[in-house]
Amino acid sequence: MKIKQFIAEHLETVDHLRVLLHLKGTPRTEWDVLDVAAKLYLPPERTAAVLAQLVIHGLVVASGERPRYRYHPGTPELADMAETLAEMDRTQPVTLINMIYAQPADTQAFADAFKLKKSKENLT
Amino acid sequence: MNTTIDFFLMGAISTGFAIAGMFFLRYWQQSRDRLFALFALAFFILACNRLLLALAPDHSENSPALYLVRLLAFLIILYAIVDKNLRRA
Amino acid sequence: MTGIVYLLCAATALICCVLLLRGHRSTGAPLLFWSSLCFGLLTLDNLFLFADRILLPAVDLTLYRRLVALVAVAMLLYGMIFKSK
Repeated sequence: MKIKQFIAEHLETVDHLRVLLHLKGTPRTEWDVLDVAAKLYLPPERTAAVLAQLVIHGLVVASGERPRYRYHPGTPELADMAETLAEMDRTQPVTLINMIYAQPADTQAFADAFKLKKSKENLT
Repeated sequence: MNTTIDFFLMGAISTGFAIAGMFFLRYWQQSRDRLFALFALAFFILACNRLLLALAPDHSENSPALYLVRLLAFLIILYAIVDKNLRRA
Repeated sequence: MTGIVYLLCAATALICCVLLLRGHRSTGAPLLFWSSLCFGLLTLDNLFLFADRILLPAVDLTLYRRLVALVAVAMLLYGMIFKSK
């Protein structure tokens, strides 16, 4: 799997990236929503939504009644991609963030798929 | 083939196409890209096509007339692609 | 003549399948993967129809055609409902 595909499938926004990398940096710690929110300066509701999505995508697990979250990729492949992602965040963070921002909405991608001649920026 | 099973399968396929058509309609509403309107139309026609095939008496299933309806749907998709490429982006 | 109708439907579906797959390669968007799968199966559905009616009139492929079409539309809906942002 390419990193681009991983981003398209799992990281809708830069917030998703930040939360994922934060949890990945502390794999043994179980985080409360409010702690993650405070650490990353994100609104708690937003943080909760992002964490819930990361759980659905199999990158994070939640436990407990008032859930605490921990980085736990569901498959070796996801773990590999997250590793690549963290590496990229260290070496070329701007490229990484641009890749997340440059994602077209799915409907836009669908419509653009039917353009036979693609402009150069779409080909990258 | 067992007609009851066939009826059931055709109903499911027809409903599926109709729901997909509604999604395309929503995509059209969001993006205002004609391509989606044409896809929605094509998928609604595909849904009708299946419905008509299921409702038609057995012997007429062998007549290709109903498959012209399907052709219409695919021609609309083809037109949508051509239209997308002829338009200025 | 009717054979051409079936093959034209198959060809159109194949074009959609290939274009969507190409789009998936360049954007990674999962919706495109599932829709290309749908059009791939619709291609197969039309080819089966051609086989059923023109090539092998003695063999009844109806059930297979129905199942292929059902899976095709299920894949598309799965992509639209669960895999689209």
